[in-house]
Amino acid sequence: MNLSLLLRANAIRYRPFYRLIALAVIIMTALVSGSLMIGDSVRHTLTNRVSERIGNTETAIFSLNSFFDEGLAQEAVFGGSARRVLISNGFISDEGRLLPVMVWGVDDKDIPPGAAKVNPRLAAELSEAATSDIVLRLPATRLVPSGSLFVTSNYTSSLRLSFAGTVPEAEGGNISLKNEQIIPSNIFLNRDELALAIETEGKLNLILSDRIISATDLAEVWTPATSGIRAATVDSLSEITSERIFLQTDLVNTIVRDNPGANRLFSYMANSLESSSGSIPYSFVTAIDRYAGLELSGNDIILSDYSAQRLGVATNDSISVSYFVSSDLKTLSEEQIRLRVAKILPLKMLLEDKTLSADFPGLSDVERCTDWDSDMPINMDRIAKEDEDYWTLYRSTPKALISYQAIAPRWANSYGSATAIRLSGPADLSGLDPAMLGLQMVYPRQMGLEAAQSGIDFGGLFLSLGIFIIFSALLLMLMPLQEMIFERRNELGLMRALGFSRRLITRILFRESVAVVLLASTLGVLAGACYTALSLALLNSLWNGAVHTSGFSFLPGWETCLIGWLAGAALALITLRIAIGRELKRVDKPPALKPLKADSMKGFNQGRLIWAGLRMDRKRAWTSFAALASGVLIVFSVGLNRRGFADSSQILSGTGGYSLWCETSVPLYHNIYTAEGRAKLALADLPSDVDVLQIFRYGADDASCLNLNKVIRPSILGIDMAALDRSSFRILQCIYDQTSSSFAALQSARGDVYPAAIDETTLLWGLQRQLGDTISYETTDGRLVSILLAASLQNSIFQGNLLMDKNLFAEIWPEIRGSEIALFRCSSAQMPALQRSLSQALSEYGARIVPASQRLKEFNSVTDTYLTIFLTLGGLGLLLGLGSFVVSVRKNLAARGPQIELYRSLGFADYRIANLLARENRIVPLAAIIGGILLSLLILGRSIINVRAGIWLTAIALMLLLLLSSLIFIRRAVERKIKNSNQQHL
Amino acid sequence: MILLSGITKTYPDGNNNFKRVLCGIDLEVQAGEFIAIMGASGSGKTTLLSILGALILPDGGSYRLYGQEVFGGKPSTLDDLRNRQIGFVFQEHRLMPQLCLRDNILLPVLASRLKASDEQLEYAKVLMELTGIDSLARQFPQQLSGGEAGRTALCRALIMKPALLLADEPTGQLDASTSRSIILLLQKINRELGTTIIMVSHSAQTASAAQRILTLDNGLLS
Repeated sequence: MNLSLLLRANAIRYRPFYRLIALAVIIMTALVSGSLMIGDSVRHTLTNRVSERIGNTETAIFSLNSFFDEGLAQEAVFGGSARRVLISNGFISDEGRLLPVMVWGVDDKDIPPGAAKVNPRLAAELSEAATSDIVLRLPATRLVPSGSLFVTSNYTSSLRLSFAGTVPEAEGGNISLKNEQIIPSNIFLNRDELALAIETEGKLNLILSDRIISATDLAEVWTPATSGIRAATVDSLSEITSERIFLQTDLVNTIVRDNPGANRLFSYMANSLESSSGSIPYSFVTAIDRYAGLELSGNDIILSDYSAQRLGVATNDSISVSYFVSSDLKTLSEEQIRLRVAKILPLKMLLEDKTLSADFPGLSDVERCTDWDSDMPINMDRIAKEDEDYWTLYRSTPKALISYQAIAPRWANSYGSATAIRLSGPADLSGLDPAMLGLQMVYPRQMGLEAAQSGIDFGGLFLSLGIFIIFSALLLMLMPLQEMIFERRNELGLMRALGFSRRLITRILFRESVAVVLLASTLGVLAGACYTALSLALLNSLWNGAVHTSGFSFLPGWETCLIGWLAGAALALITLRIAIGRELKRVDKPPALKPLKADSMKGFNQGRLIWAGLRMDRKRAWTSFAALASGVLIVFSVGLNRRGFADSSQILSGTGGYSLWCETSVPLYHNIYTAEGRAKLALADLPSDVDVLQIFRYGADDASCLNLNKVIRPSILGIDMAALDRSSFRILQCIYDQTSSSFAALQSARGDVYPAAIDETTLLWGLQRQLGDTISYETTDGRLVSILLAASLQNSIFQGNLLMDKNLFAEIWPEIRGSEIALFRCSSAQMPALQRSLSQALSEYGARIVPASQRLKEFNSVTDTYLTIFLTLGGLGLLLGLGSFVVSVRKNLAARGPQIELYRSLGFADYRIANLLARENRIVPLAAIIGGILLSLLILGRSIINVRAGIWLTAIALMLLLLLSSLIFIRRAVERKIKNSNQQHL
Repeated sequence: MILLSGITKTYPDGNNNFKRVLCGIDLEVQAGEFIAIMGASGSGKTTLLSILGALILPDGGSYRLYGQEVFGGKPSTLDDLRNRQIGFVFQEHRLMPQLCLRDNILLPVLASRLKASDEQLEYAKVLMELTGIDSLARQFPQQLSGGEAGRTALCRALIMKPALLLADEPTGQLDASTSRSIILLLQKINRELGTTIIMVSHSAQTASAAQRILTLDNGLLS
């Protein structure tokens, strides 16, 4: 006889109890390990997605709003690993649908001009007609920025391509530089063809390298010419120009600083030159610091003799120059400046100076004035024969030169403050750097892996969602343990009588359970794997609303399995060890019921009998109560917390009162609020009472609940804060003074810190930050600015983005001049017609227009899906609690045999006995349901008033069903017990 | 008062056979009598008492109480009989551990009503005083001695003022002195309340307290 034999014999003898304990351990371990495995699988899937998206790309060099020479990719620093890419937004017209796509111009011999390949996701979306003939539209990007005043009015370019197949994910079909798990829709075409379509031949805006390239490496191989800065030298004189026409202000200031005596030029088209005796329409004019020995000051103007003659003026006479200036969204206003004729020069002199005027596409390169193609309004009726004659002979030779100092502040725009700089010697451009010209560098693989591994912790999420199942399983484990020890009390008493110490007995009982727990934990891990597989399948299907992506793979690490096994086993063993110790104390020294107080001896009734029974067995009663009440709490509170989507106040604050959300693939550069803007966008028929809010976007990562990756830098929307102030969007918290409107407080920067508002969900879940935190962003010219998270917005359609005042936005990203998003407000009666007309008018911009409420619903559906998952797991916990309760009731009734006999012997009729037992057993479920409901109402607090009537009814109906089922079960169990108890007795 | 005629009872013996415990019992008991039934262990004493208490059905024979056939009527009649007419003192007392002494005594009351009346509360007090356990009214059964538990069981059997008291080995687990006190109590109850008492015992000394002693042997009474 040895201890092992004793342990084995005991385990076999009491196996019904150990089976229940094992079941509980399996459930617990399954949930713990399964949750960890889910976290692992999601994380690994996201990490694999990084590889799918990025491949081996370590470094990406790109320019946000400009281009650079393709020769850069051939520099030795890349070691031959550089892939030359032209990238653009775009959309495909397909049977009335406008499918937004990312356009990749690549060097692939399998994609000849006229053909295109797509990734599997896009292939699945395209109709059969589209797969044979793809109509692709994209922004007519060009070298000259579309947001500037002197560009053609054609903002889109289109290509008709034949379908050449799909690019599988293994070959980079799902390439994306965004840290998002949502698979993009990619189309790949011949890079040269794309460059031709957007007039950027020989240019790139993206290099992907498999090497890690540092900023120093880049600076060593970059020259200003790479970014389109030309420095022409003629007779020891230098002239610096840009392929983009405009020279960035920082660049101008640097060159002027490094090159004393620099002469700045700004070429412009004036609406008119006017004197008291004449006027000349639509004339090229150049602002300049000095010319022909004359330093132009304040109000000086140099005319050509041609202009002087036409205007009938002489030196010192006064003329006025009218011109357009463009503000927000090409809202034009005409200004006028009065100038004194300081000099008159021969036209021939100006004509021979070929680079006095910039080459504006659509203006400089046409044969006739009437061929001018410009977004600037030109009234052709004003152009006379002499203007045409001038053009024929002299083209864009400026008719006047005016003081740069006087006019540059008015003519300067987001893209630059000069069109050329002249130097009297060789140009010193050493002060320029790639960042100044918009060249930026990121490390997508490193960032992507970081984002994937730090994203939403699904392991922790599922663990916390399933905490009540673990709790219920623990209770399920303790019940059979308590009963087993109670049943063994005589045996244990005997062991004490034979000299076994309590400690030794505890150890014996514990060691009996160790083998059971270890085996059960192992099975639990296997069950956990099934739980994981099932959960992932549900995330890929029924619960897809939580993640908006599919393709999660079952990829748990072995370490995770081990941790899950250890955690489940440890939790069970620790709990058992404590419980065994406690139960043995109870057996040794059963809690003596103290004599009742004298004042509690009044009367004797059935209630007293029932409560006495409950008090005797209070441990079981409390355990059942806890298991049931916690399940009810979860199910009830989560169920009531579902947003659903009918609360009108939530819709209003979520949409701001706006009816439609419009997003375009090609930016809208015109102001929909003005008649001119509407005419440009074919929206002349837009009702005047429709309110519009156009929004600029700095595109980065989506920090909404749709993105499972950790987002460091979310997209930023430049928006009119004053308009938000007038809307129904609601600020929840603001770190600034609350005495004034919080939106107004976001309209000013504080030093170098720019305030922004953020949707509360984005703040907490997308960024995992708090108000007061700052995020660094790189500006177009390479500076770093801090964006302060200053205010949180109630759940809104802006989820995933930061909101910044448009003026502050323009300070940081002045070159983003087109709006990609617009909100429209109209009456609900107008909405369908408005949606139709907008879709039609803006179709060439790839506009997708949805009701704002629908966008909000999509975000809410994510929250609701998480709540559904929580509800499902809570429901499982409740079922487990019910299971424990059922087992408990059955055990309780099983032990009541002698009591039932006693009642009978005392003359209790069967129905009375049944009533007594049923009433006693009803107390726990009734108390649990009421307690669970009251606690959940307390937790919900004031948000109760937002719960829809339908949800209330459902919740109440479910609870009533639960209560009714419990009562029916109890009644039937009691009746069955009484019927079965000793058939021989009467 | 009681008339048993030809009562038989068999039990399975675990080997697919049946053992006849009672082989045709005839018994007549007058009201107010104090009878003891003796017999060896396993002779069927408890079985006979259980039949007399209408707790189990005999296999054959007739049991009349006050001229009325006990078995064959509605179950509610038997409930009423067990509650009001018969008081049973079990061998192992069978006190409810969750009820204090007084409540254990009052338990039979709830078979027919929702709560004990004032008279019943008062009568319980009287019974406790009669049996000397009035000071233990608020205690629980785990805190009682064997004698005290026995006396509590006795009070419970008497709370409904039954005409018939059946006592199964009322002194079975008690020492001589305590047994004597229980027996004296039974005699007192028989004498003062006029309750008919049928007591089962294997102890001759206990049985000698009765007015009539019967022996159960080989399933028959003599």
